[in-house]
Amino acid sequence: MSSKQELIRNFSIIAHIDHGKSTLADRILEQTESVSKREMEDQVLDNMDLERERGITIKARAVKILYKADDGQEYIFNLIDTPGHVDFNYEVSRSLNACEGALLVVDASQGIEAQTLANAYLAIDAGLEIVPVINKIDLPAADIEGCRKEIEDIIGIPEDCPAISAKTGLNIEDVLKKVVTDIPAPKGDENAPLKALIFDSYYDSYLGVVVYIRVFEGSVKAGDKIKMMNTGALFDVVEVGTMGTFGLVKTESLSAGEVGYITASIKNVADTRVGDTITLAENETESALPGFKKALPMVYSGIYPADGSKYGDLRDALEKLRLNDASLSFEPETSTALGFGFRCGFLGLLHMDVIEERIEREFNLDLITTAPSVIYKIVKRDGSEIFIDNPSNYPPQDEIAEAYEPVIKASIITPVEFVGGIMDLCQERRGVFKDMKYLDSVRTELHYELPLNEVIYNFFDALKSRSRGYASLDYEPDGYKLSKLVKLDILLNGEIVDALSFIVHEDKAYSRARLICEKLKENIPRQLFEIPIQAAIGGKIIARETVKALRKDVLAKCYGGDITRKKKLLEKQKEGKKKMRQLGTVQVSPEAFMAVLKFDEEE
Amino acid sequence: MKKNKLGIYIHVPFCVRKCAYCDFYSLSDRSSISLYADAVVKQLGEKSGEFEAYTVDTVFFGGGTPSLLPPEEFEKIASVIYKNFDTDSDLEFSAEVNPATVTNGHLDAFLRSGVNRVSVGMQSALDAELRTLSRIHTFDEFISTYDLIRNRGIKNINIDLMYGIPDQTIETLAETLEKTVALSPEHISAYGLKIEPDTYFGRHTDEYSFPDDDLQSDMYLYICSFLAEKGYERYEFSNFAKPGYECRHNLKYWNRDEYLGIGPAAASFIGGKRYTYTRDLDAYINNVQFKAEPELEESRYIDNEEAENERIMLGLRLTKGIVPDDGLISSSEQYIKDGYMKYNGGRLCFTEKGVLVSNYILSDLITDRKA
Repeated sequence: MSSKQELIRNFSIIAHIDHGKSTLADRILEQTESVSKREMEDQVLDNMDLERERGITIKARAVKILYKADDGQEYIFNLIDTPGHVDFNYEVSRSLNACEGALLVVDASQGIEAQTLANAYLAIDAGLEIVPVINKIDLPAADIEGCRKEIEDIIGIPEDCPAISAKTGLNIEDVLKKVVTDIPAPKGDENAPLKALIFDSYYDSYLGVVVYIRVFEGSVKAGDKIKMMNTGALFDVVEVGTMGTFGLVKTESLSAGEVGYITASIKNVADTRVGDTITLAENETESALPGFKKALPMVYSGIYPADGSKYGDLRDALEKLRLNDASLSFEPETSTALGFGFRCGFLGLLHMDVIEERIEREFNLDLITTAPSVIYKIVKRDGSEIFIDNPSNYPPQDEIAEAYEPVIKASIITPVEFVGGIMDLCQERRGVFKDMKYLDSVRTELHYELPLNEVIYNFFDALKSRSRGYASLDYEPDGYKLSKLVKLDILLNGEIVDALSFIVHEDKAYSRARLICEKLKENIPRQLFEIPIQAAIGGKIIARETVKALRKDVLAKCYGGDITRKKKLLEKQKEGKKKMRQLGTVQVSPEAFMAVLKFDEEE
Repeated sequence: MKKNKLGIYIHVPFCVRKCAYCDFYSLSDRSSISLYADAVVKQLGEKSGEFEAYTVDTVFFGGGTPSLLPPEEFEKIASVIYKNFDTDSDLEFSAEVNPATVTNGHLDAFLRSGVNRVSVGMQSALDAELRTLSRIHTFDEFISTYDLIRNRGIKNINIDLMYGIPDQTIETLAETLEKTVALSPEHISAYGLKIEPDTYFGRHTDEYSFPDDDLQSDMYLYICSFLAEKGYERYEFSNFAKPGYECRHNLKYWNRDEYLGIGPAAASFIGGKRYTYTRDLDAYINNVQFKAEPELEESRYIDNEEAENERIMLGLRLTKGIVPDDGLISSSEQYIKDGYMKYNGGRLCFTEKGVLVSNYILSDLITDRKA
């Protein structure tokens, strides 16, 4: 083993949301003088506004840090950040696979929580050495000993983990020492053929796609012809280097054990799939790294600009986002209610939320989105087979011979006391129980087969609320299953609003129909005429509500001739009306539309 | 030379205590009342220079509770108006009072000052409803005050009523109306209770049962037909008068005539500019005494487009309505067809059914302004 690798430590920081992952990353950068306090833009690693606000990391990032240890040696720390949500479990697992160890941050006042566990197990699965760090010991509610015991009992890691305050900078040095002593150095054969893992990539308008890699074996340099082993794509390396705190730092080569980037005039992030293995085209490694999966959209939704004239802007926004996000797919669609928009495919609901929010924020567009849908498989009476990701294309019931819906294999890890509630939830969501095993005296793992369209409606939130946040969910697609599906149409004032149609299991149609009608009633402002709201399957009305006609609004007094308030009220009302969508004869605000679609069955 | 007409409004920001529904600017701490009166006197004196081309034809003491001003302070302020402004021989001089705060001394001061119209806050003839509103008086106390004012020779009296009070019914409203018209006031205002956030009702909404929109609509229509039958003409959304007794001061607001507001939180509309003083008594007093002008909450010139919107939103409050331009003729077409608006001669106005949803309709009729 070369001495070079002995001085490298590749690690991630994993934590439950808000336990201080990003703050710790900041302090490590500061303490190692990778950035000065003055230069310190809060939380260098999370550099999207959205991530900072939501307190979650969406895209992985990495940074190289130099650390002068007490033994006089200068170590190279490669800190690889991970996204933190079940939609991105795959990305997390790839990032972890690029490391030898992980710092597991636990909030001293909160103790171990769901994500702490979920992430810890991901890291253990990836064969990582785990270094627990007890954070926030400056808080009055901090219970360091209790936290230590919990870590030992639940995760099974004993003893002397550093107790720190990332906020005040207390004991950060202990963490750095632990990284050196406890996290193993990489041990790859530098002379073997190149074997490198892609754990992230992004599009840069000058360099093309910048691919973040961890080299396991061999080395790579500018001029090498490389091959993506799963996609088969070939590229000529233009540049290699490492990730400095403030940008890319070009180097001669990257070799076994190192973390860095490659550019190769790659135009499309889809060619650089996370989890793929890079090797040399002329000297291939024997086998690709295990665990590669192609990111397939699981959830579809129609996205429309709230202001119809912004269709072009929306297209530009989606195209720009796709440059960096190979898992986002979209194609144009039209709705009679909403006009021109796009049918978009997402990895999951959080991915959908994040994309929508980025469009609204970074591109300043207001959106209307339709209910999320999965892809149904329909075998028609004429024998043809079609796939439907948009309820508008659902064929009439009498043309359908068989309808299939996608199912997932779900694995739920939960403390034992919540098993009953979670089994009820899975039952309500048409889940089929597979098996259950006790992981240890406190935790249980449940396996269910669940229809995906039940999971995309707030399943994750319901799971969290029934387990006080402790249960975690992982899932993988498991093909199609024969089902009894119906298309539910919503009529306002007698006219079908196509954007509100959705596909649902027959057994759920009535309750869902009632819920939607009630939600619409709550959210459609009274207008000068009565508005019937109906839900129908085929021609049959199965639920109905009525928005009564507006009889009265506020007759404010203009006391003492102060008319400003009244004027503002009317102007605001006028503004509000301008944003209204005309659905047939009925005006509905985009907010009302969204409220209806984001309903929560737990209510 | 023909002079411009001016209305003067004096805001008296003191009350015995705050009513449960009220979010106007008023304070129950009355310790600065004479400092306040001095400031008003000083400001009127200073302002008068700007109004040499004007004749004051209406004065309105509102509040708050103007009858909390000691009679001598009231007189002092009134005399400054006469001394410094040109006043019309047909001056309408209104003072608002609350029952149980009016003494013979006040009426002496009113009469000496030329007050010829008094507005009394009655709100309801039912003591239970008065308690709910946390009014400071009973119905009997109101009657005493009313009789006192009438007997001292005030020939133009307004009674303020309220509908939409928690637990109010058409029956209790009818009782209030009966008892009101039995007194033969010249003018009646009937305002719907609106729950404002920064009020007792706003903070305790859940604890009360407010009449719903349908009942409130029925109440409004009931008031309109009841009072019409008794000879009170509805000349504005919420104002009813015997012929010739419309409040000329309040008409200025709806006709976009000029008025000067004095006192904290008072609003003015002069020379195409609207401005409002801040809701802060101490700042008002200090600024008047030690600086040129009270602090402004808001001040802006109204351009032609905004003026047209104001004409629509204010003018359409009046039963006589406004003369519509082409834009308004077409935007109101559907509302006329549906019975919410109508033509009255050449003027466009709301029907009673339309009054109830006037905000909804007005927000369509006003034009978009690029703010």
